[in-house]
Amino acid sequence: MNRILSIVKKDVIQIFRNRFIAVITFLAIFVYAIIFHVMPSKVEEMYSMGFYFEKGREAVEEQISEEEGVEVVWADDENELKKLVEDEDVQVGLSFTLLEGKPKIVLYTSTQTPEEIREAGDVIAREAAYSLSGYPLNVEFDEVVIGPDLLGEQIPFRNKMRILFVVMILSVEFFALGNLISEEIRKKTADAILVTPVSIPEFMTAKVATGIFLTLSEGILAAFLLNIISFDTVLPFVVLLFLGALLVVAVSFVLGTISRSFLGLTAYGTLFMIVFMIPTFTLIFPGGYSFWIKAVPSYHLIIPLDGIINYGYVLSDYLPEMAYLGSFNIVVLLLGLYVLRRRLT
Amino acid sequence: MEKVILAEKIAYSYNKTLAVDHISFHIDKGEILGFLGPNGAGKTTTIKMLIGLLAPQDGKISVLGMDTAKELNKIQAQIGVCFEEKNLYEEMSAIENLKFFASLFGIKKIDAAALLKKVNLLVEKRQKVASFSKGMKQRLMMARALINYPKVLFLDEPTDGLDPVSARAVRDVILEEKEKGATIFLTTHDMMEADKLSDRVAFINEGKISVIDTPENLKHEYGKRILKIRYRLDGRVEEEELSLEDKDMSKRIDEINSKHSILDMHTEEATLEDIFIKFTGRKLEG
Ligand SMILES: Nc1ncnc2c1ncn2[C@@H]1O[C@H](COP(=O)(O)OP(=O)(O)OP(=O)(O)O)[C@@H](O)[C@H]1O
Ligand SMILES: [Mg+2]
Repeated sequence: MNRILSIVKKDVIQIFRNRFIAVITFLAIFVYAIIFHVMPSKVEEMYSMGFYFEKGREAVEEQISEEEGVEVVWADDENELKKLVEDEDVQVGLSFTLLEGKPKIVLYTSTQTPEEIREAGDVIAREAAYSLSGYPLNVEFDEVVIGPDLLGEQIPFRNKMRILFVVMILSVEFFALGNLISEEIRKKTADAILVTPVSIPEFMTAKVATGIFLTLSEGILAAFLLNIISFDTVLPFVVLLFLGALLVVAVSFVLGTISRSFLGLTAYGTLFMIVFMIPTFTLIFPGGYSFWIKAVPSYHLIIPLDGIINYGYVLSDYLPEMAYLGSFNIVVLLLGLYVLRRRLT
Repeated sequence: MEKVILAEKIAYSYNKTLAVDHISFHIDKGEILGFLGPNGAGKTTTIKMLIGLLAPQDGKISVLGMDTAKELNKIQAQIGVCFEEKNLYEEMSAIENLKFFASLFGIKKIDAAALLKKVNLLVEKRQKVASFSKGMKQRLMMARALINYPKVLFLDEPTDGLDPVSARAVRDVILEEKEKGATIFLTTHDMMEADKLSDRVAFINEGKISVIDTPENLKHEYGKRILKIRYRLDGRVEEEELSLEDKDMSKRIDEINSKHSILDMHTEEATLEDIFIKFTGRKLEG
């Protein structure tokens, strides 16, 4: 046990004494944190609203135009208004018609419409109704949501991006850990360790421990800087991060063992990193994805992270994803241990 | 005499090359065995089997009375190894390197400064190994091999490529350890070094040991002492070698002396190199 800890300590020192690794690690963590904090925390500052008034457009036109931060588009009939909302030309649409002499107001929103804007539309609609009829209650008020019911509400783009950032920070560990293993083999320092009472299983355990320790601590640091951790999300986040760390460690074992030079390591590392990052597209462009993207193990890390952190889901909602990721990790880790073991003797 | 190292018909081949071909030898307690052979002879492969990095594909090895296949960790706690490659942690200082390896032996406190002084390595405390010269690295390699007060030392070409001063420093450490009772397996392709340091030498070539004996016995039995004689002939300098064992030697000297003017003459002992060539038909270097 003491021997393993000694090796872990040495590994951590060795990794951060490598300037390239130290720089990319800290750049990744802090640059992403800064980007996150300068990105707008609101979805959009400007609201755009569409209006259709069967009668009395002139009476309200001036008043509505004075609303601050609202872009106004007038539609000529109800269908045109619906289309405006559907095509996301406007975020909400308000129609005012007279039904058997009684005013009827319908607020159209799309599933893409953020909650704040719906509320704003609601206020404007009531205000308009009041100023038209003089009585707030004497109108029929309706709210219609257009489009497929996508789960949850719209959230700020930066909240989506921070999931991508976490995964990016994890993948930097490919280089750190891959290079550590590759150097121990190439420079034969592993031999020097293995002629002491340290056994091959102890040596490999130490490498797994180093990888998990580094990935977890960097992930948690990043989580703090990216406002990810709250009381409700800390536990699931750490569980998922652990699964992610295991994935990174397993892949790095393979990476470190197959690369014969630092150049080879960066080339393979970049390739693995790109594949690892492909599923983050699903964060930016949600929708149905092909089998191939779902086969990439990081997909099964990204989806639960996004759901739990951004939409308030819980870990038990993602058991299939975790099972997939867990079994993938076991297979790749066994493969990594096997190839490393072969290089050590 | 206690046989500290005993190798019986050990063999190892990489894919198709048979690097070590069923060799047997032993080393007594407190003895230095010089393993002498050209590049690719199988010296490093033999060491790797003795220290447990490679498992022999045939045969048996015991070190300190223990089987390497069964009690490797116990053996490894009591041996020191100086590798052919300078496999140090380059981004760490000499002291950090020594402390790390000490910790792997469960040694918490080491007097790193004393150890560095012993190998005559003077460095700044924080200076990284990457900035060391070859000789400095090699001295640190020796210091590391001694970190656990080993009973047996395995040294793979410890003076290879060093200047005379560094080589001397390393040899002094080897002799000092021998004085203290360490048993030492030393590989080299420097026959002078083998001659000076070893109690016995083994000639290895193409994975086979051709002979093991003390340098004196080898020279006595297989070496012929010669007389080198130089004389002037038609304005040129001629050189001739005469065997001291040859009965006609003095006749030939008289002959030369009567016809030409002798410049100088001196006797030379056969070197291990000559004997090596005699045994293997191969030079040690080049
Ligand atoms: N890892 C390896 N893979 C394949 N062949 C190897 C390997 N290591 C050594 N050999 C071969 O085994 C033979 C013995 O090599 P070894 O390194 O034991 O020689 P050596 O006596 O130490 O030589 P040197 O003086 O150059 O260090 C050589 O023919 C070499 O090419
Ligand atoms: Mg060698």
